[in-house]
Amino acid sequence: MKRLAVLLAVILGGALHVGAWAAAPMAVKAAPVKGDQCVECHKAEATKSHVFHGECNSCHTNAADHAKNQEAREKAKGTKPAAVVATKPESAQCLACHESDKKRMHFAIAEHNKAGVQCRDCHGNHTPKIKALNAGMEKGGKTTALCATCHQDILAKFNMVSHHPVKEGGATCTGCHDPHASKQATLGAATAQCTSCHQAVRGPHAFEHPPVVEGCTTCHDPHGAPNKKLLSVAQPMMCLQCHTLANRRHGATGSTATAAAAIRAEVVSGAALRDCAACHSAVHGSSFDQHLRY
Amino acid sequence: MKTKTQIKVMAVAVASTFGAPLYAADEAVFSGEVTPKLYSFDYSKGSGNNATQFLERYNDQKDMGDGDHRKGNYLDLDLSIVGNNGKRNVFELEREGFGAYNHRGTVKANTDTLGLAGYYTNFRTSTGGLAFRYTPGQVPGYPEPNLPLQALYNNTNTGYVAVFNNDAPGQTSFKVDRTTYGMGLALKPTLFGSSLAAAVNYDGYQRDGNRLANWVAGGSDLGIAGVAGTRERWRGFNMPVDETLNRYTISLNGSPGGFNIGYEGMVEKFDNKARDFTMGSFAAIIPAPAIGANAIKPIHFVPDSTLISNNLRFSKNYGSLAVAAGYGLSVLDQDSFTSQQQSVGYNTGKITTNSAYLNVTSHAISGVGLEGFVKYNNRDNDSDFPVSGLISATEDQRLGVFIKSIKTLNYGLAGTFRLSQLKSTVTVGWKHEDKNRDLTWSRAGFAPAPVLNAIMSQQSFYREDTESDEFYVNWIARPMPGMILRVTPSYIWADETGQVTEPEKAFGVKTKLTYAASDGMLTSAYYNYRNRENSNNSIMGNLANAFPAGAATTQDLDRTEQAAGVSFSLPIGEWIKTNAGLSWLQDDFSSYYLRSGRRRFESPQNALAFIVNDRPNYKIDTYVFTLGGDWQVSDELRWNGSYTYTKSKGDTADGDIYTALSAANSIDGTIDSALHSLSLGVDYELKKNIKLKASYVYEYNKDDSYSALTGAYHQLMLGVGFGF
Repeated sequence: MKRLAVLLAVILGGALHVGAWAAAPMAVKAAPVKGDQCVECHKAEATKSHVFHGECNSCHTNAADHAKNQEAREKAKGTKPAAVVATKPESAQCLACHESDKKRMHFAIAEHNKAGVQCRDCHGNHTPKIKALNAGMEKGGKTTALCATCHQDILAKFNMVSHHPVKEGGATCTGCHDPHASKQATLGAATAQCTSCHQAVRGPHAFEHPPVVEGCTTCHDPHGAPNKKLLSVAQPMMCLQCHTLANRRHGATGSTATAAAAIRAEVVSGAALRDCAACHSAVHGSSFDQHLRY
Repeated sequence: MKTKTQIKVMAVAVASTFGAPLYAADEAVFSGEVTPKLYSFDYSKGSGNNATQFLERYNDQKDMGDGDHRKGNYLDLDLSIVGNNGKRNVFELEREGFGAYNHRGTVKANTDTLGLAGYYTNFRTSTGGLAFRYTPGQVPGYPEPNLPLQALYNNTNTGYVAVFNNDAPGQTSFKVDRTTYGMGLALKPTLFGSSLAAAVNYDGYQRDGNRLANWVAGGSDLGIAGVAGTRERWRGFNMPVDETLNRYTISLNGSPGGFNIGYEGMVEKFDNKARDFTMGSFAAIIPAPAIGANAIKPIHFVPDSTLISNNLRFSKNYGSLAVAAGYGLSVLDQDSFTSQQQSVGYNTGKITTNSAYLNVTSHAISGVGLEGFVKYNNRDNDSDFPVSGLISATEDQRLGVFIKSIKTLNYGLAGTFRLSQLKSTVTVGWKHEDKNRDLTWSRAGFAPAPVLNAIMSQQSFYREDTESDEFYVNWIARPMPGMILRVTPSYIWADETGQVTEPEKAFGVKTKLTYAASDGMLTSAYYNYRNRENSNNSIMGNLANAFPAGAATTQDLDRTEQAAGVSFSLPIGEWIKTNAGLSWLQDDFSSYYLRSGRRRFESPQNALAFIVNDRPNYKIDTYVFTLGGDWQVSDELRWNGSYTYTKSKGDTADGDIYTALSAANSIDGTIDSALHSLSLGVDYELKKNIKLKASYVYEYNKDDSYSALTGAYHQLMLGVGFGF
């Protein structure tokens, strides 16, 4: 708590030091350049309409300079002035309108923003980022294909034998992940991201399994795993991280000996070791059985 | 022209369903495409025609004639209609179909003031029973070769593992269909003439099907002593799945006075309509049952529940300072109870979660960004627990641990600096996490004197507190046009860990280099490394009625995950695009295999000792290779194709566990599977408004660990797209 107090002091101190509690500066707007002027050259963009995106300079803030310069270049004889490249919109320009949207309210602290990902990297205002899908990705859809263009390591996991059916069309990346959100701004239960679809395991259970309460990823890799049931570690090692294995009920003779040599000598068969959940099948919680068997 | 008119009428009708004003705003021009498709499919190899083929689990299909799921033909339809009034798409309708069990659709309508949307999806998953590796008939019993089978049936300990009682004879295919649906109405700011926006949404799903529900009765549950009782304990039955969810959400957003404020309220009702099973349900099929009072014990009871949540979010810019904050309250209530719970007065299942966060960012200093955050989450379990007599009228509950509450507090600071070197952005940050758990152990307790057996806290790795710090760096560099390098190392150290799966020490680094050339070539490479260790948590044994005893036994986890890959996207000329990628993922894990004579809840009245038996290692390597391309032969003709090869291989454990698993069968202990996926597609524009489409998909899964999973699949699709 001391550290928290120091942290709050630093935040507040910083805020006071800044002292610039003025209104947020508006994006500097150039002289109006109408969309129909732009499409005289950019003919391919003529059909890409949206009522709030029709004015090119609302995003391409130097569109006026760009247009004037182009005109000058065309008229110039001899030495031509350097070309002025039309700016691509930064996220801040998009957020000038979209920040009040509920999903984008916290984009400033979103993981994507912190990683330098701009709105334009995913959203093609003129044409879709993913124009066509090959036959192998048709079921997965364009949103999944878009995410896969950057998250190659995650895409690889969806090829493992156990995975959420994203490529198959049964789930989407955005069904679980809000690309505009921040982990620092999540509200609700630690398991909410998973139980928004898997309500059957959320309980309340009379007998909870503690790691389930702590978070689903304690045991599962939601993207994919070489083990069944999306388990991040195969059975029985998954369970034996936290649980000791008792000879009684699990050993061949059920010896209850306490000497180390005797405990070790008891045979535990592969049938008992192959899948703990084959018997403890109420592993997410039970209404009655404290051993989570039903 | 006739087709165009019909579709336009249909589109208008659908739009009208959602609200006539939407369409009436401006005259819209409709365009779209309707694509009837004929599919032909064929599964080969696998575990037999009567069992679920491994490749079928996410791709169940049905012949339109005799309903065969392994081979046949069927018709489907894709549909896309867009209405545009020159300012926006005022109407969109899309449907994609991939067979009877995989299809989806969306509809949207928009005006200046309103937005309407609806959707549905249908998707089936299939299994063979206990996960995809087993069907009921393939669950082997006790195969220990060195011990006589009949003697093991008599064994009251592992004897029940000697035989699996299949109460779903002949049932080898288990399938669950999930159908989701929803609709939403958005009231745009222009409607209110201010920044206020509102939305009302409904989402729901229906899960239908069946699953193999396996369970093990307690030693005395079936009331049969000796051989028969032991052999009857491990069972599985065909359990119906019938669940519905209805979620209602209202959202309000506005920016009064420059404050962005958002509120979201949600009511989510989950109902399980499947029959409530009890041990008594099996009285007719268990030989010589003597279930008696155990008849009301519930089997895999799934309660109905209601989740109500209220979230409030806020953000505001004060010049170069930005503040974001939020508060959420959610309450999960149990709505239905087993008759056994009701009989002992267990009538409250309630979990309350309070959460809040505060973020402050500043860019007051040129080229420097500062950030601080605090986040709090408190999960309170207010359910009736423990209730005397829930399990036994005469004994204590022999509880494991009951988590009354978990309070989590995270906070941290970060600074971001823009550097001219390599056009870099460097973020240096620190995070701290505190978790405090209110744990309830058995009521028996140890002090002053144990009366009943129960798990003592000293015999569990679970701890009340977690306290950890993380230091991280995020470096993003743009050393040349088109090139981006990301390097994000981090280190975590913990003074206390509540679970052994939490890291006591963890070092990770993620790196990624991408290069986009002006000619359209895109190259990227990545390498991720993460090692985490924990040797922080210990347990201790006891002598009978004396605790603790002996030296502490410490679990020691060490896990290293690595992933590396390269990918290329290379245009060859103007009309051919190719791509290739290779990824390697490795998971290398080891921990102690700890054993004891008795189960933990048999203490403290019985002596209990723990030993370190072994230190098995789990190590799996996975390789994924992809190759694809797209060839626009002419304006009319386009080919595309892709091939993916995935190989996973390794041991799930070595040492004693591997030996035991290998003795049992050849299925467990190793993972050795390879999946080949090939797809070819072609589009040909026969006329301006007619497009021919075809695709071929071939998959072959080869499992050298469990040969029954080996199988193949062919699919051919022919379609005709009619544009308008």
